[in-house]
Order: sequence, then structure tokens, then C-alpha cells
Amino acid sequence: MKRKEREVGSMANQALHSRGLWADAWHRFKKNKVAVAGMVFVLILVVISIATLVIDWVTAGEIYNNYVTKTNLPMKLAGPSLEHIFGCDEYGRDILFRLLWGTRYSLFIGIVSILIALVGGGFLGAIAGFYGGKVDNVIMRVMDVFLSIPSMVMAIAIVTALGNSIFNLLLSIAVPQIPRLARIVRASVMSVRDREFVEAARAVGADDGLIIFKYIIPNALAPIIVQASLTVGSAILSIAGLSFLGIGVEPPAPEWGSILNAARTYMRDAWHISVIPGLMIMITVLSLNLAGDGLRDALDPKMKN
Amino acid sequence: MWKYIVKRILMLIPVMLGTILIVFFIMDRSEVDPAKVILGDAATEETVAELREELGLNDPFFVRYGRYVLDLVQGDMGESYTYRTPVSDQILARLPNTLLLASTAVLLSVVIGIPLGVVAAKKQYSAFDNISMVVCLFGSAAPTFWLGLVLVLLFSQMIPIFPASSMGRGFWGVLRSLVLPSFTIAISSIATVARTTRASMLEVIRQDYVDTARAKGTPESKITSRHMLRNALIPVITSVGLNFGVLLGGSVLTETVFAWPGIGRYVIEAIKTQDIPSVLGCVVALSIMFTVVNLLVDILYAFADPRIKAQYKQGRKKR
Repeated sequence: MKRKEREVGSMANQALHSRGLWADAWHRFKKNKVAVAGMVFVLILVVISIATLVIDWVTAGEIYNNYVTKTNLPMKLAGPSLEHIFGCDEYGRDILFRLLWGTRYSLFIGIVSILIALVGGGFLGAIAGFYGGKVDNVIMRVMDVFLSIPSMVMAIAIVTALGNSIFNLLLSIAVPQIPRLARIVRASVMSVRDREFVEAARAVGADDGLIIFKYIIPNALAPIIVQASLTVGSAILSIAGLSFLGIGVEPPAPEWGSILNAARTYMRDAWHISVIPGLMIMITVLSLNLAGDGLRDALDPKMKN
Repeated sequence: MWKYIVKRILMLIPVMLGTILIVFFIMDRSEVDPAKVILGDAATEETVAELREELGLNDPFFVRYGRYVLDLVQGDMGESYTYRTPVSDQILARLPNTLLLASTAVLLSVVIGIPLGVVAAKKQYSAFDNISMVVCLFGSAAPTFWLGLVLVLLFSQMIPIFPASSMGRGFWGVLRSLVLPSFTIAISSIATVARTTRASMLEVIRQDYVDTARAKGTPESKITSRHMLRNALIPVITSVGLNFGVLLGGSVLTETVFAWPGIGRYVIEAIKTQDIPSVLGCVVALSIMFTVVNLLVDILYAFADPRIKAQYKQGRKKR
């Protein structure tokens, strides 16, 4: 009896202490099992990429050289077995090892390219949304033009012209996303631009830069984060696509898309090479999408249908 | 209405000029020297320099851009380094194949995606709804080219009913070879269209006018098609239009998987041989296609959404 009373009391207490936007969102996010599962999987991938990087660093690349990229022709195209649970590729390399060591490419390129796009798109969108009028018009029309080039096609053009160094790959994935993120940032900046606290900041003499970055952006962050997290999935699909076409991450690096590129030739003899890396990409993107959807519902319950 | 359409078509011109400018600028960063590619490795510095001058490669960027646009308007996209024929011929020969593939995929995504979304929304939280939405989640997360590989494994190797690559001959041959690549491209947009339709239907389903229609005794099928779907369709049209870009990008990958003789495969070939005018031409062609489709979607919009039509009628019918 007493315990129950205490519980009721603490609940009332909880309700009294308002939790703030982020704690509140986290509370809602936790209840969404599917989204949590997605996030857990993404975290596992992050751990895998960090772990493999650490292993490479500690062993001075020994495992990478001996298991991930070294050819082992007797095991060529070997199917899944106890020793190699996902089988081996056309050079006899263990696919599980290659998938684990390939995680870093997808995650790193996916996340960093979206961060670049976020900085670029965020800057343009914030300026357009804050100043409005002519500035807004010019920036958004230019963004419209960028939007009229299919993102994969633009990525292909950038990589062809500039070459496929990691930086250019990041650029080729980031640039097509800039207008999409600029639109979101613009819309959310516009929604808080005329609020009282902005007026107050202006009244005490804050300049535009300070107002935008200190007062407006932090208050307009929720939809921006949601959109960015949802875009990481499509960035991972793009990078896999480029590698599949042979213009992304160069072999023998075990990027997931480039494993699939090689797999095409051996489809008749070894189905596992073409199926397993694709499943890996799909589950990764799915987890990112689920976590992103969950984030959206948690941050803005009104958007949930 | 006509005023709106004409206005939209006129707005297309600056957008296209801008698109070509961006693409031209990107491709201009390439370090490949066209003069060297044309003359081959044996050429001396002098002849290369001469040809550069002759081709106008030393002119300022905007002069070359202007020249490219003027040529493009006359249907000239330069000459392919590998084929030694006009790029426009190469593209025109492949354009119908890409259009066929893309439009079949759009058709599939509309014909399958919309009914799927409608049924899922009408039976919200049923087993059908849950299963189809989970499948859609997977469908939109899978890489296009990988779906192609899986479909080939399933329907061309395990159960050999469809050809795994290239385009067949004759009507039935083409149709048979169209099945796998078009489904490959369509799957992700079927998923998007179905999810959009479902969400948009769910918003409409609880509207008062639906209850009114039901109270009047309107048959349920008519309520679904007239009262619900028609109002739910606007976001769906947007998603189909936006998806067309994804679809065109996907066609580059899918055409490579299936050796489909379209623009997408041509651009990849051209990249491998550093055939810059061809790459430029293909990218411009794909972007123009996308822009035109977006225009069509906007016009379709005006037909589907009376509010847009009304905006342009106000001037005339002022009471």
C-alpha cells in the first residue's frame, strides 16, 4: 500500500518537474521498441567500426592484410561453412571479415557526408530563412536548380570529374543533399524567427550572426536532426551504388557495394557473395530509417500519423 | 489554367540553363585533356596545343558554356571520343530504352503502390496492413542494384523464366526482358508510394464528409474512390514525381546490372573510357528528363488540386 502511494507520489513529482524537450523526447523514444532496436543495431555497427580500427592499429594492419585483403585461392568461392559462416569471395577471402572491416566505409562516409551537407545546407537555409525576401528567393531558386539533377547522377558526375578520393566521394554524396537540408533548415528557421525571444535578443543588441546561431538554430534543431538522420540511410545507399559501379571506394578495400560489384561475375557459382553484403546494407539502412522515424515521432508527436 | 501552364514552361528555361551550368561546371573540373584523348598518347605537345586552340578549350569558362548551350539548342552535344560519332546520336539511340524502363517502373509503382496503400489504410492495423508496411520498409531500405541481383538469382537462375541481361527482340521479347529490370527499379518507389498513399488516406478517412457520404448511403467502393482517394492523391502525386529522380539514378545502376542498352549504361561506359562529352551529354539528358517530369507533375497537380486552379481563375471571375 505504502509503496504504491510512494509510486503515485513520485509520478506526480515527475509530472511537476518538466523534463525539457530532449529528455522528454528520449522518454518517448525509449517506448518505441522498433526505433530502439534500429538504434541499437546502428550502435553495434559503430562499435564494430571502432573495434576494427583499433584492431588494425594494435596489430599494425596484420589482421587486415592477412584476413581481409589477402587472396587465398584454395577457398575461392567457397560456400558458407562452419569455418567461414558467410563463405568466401572470388579471391578466397572470408566474407564475414570483409563485411566487418567494411562497416567503417559505409558509416564514416554516410555520417560525414551528411554532416558536410548539414553545414552547407544549414548555412544557406538559415540565411534564406532568417533574411527572407530577395536573399531567400535567390538562394532557394539556386537550390531548386540543384534539386533538378537526380542525386545519383550528380554524384556520378562529381566522381567522374574529380576522381574518387575519399574527400571527393564525401563531396559527391554531400552536394546533392545540400538543397534538401537547406529547405528543412529554412522552414524551421522561419518558424522561430519571429518569436519573442528573438525579439528580446535583438532588443539587447545581439547581432544577426549571434541571433541565428545562438538563439534560432538551437530552437529549430529538432526537424533538422530528424531529416539528417533519415538522409544518412540514403547516403549509405549512394556510396554502395557508386562502389558497385566501380567508381566509389577502390578495391581491395572491403566496401559493401564493391563486394557486390565483384559478386556479379560469379553469381552462377556463388550466390552467397551477392546476397549477404546486400542484406547487410539493407539492414543497416533499415535500422537508420527506423531510428530516424522514431526520433521524428519522439521529437514531434504531432507529426505522427 | 493555360496561364499557369505557360508560366511553368517559361520557368523551365532558367532552371535548365542553371542545371546545365552546374553539370558543365562539374565536368569542367575534370583533369582529362580532351585534346590528348582525341590525339592519343603519341601526339606531341605542339599538336595537342594546336588542337586545344582549335577546339576552343582555352576560351574562358563562360564562353565555352555559352557555346555548349547554343550547340545543345541545335541538338549538338559534341562528338564522342570513343565512338567518333555525335553524342546526340548515341543518346537518341538509347533514350527510348531508358524511357521505356523508367515509365514501366513508374507505371508499376502507381498500379501496385496506390492500391496497396489504399487497402492498408482501409484495414489499418490488420495483418495485411502490418505485413505490407514491413515489406515496404525493407523495400525502401534495399539497394536497387542488389535487388536486381537477387531477382536475377531467383527468376533467371533458380527458376529460369526471365532473361538475366540485355533487351529481347520483338514485342514479347522486349516485354519479357523488361520484367526484371523494371521491377528492380520500381520496388523502392512502390514502397514509397504505398506508404505515402496509406498515410494520406488515413488523414482523409476520418473526415466528416466521408461520414456524410456514408450516411447518404453512397456505396463503400464509391466512397473509397471518389471521396477518399481523390482527396488523398495530392501528396501521392508529389511522391511519384520526386521518386522519378531516384528512379533515374536507379536506372543507371539497374541498366548496368541487366546490360540494358540505355543512357545509364552508356554513361558508365563513357566514364570508364574517359569520354567526357558523352558523360556530360548523358548527365544533361537525364537532368532534363527529370526537370520535364517535375514540370508535368506540377501541371498534374493543378488538375488534381482545385485550389491551385482557383488561384489562377480569381483574376478573371471577380464578382
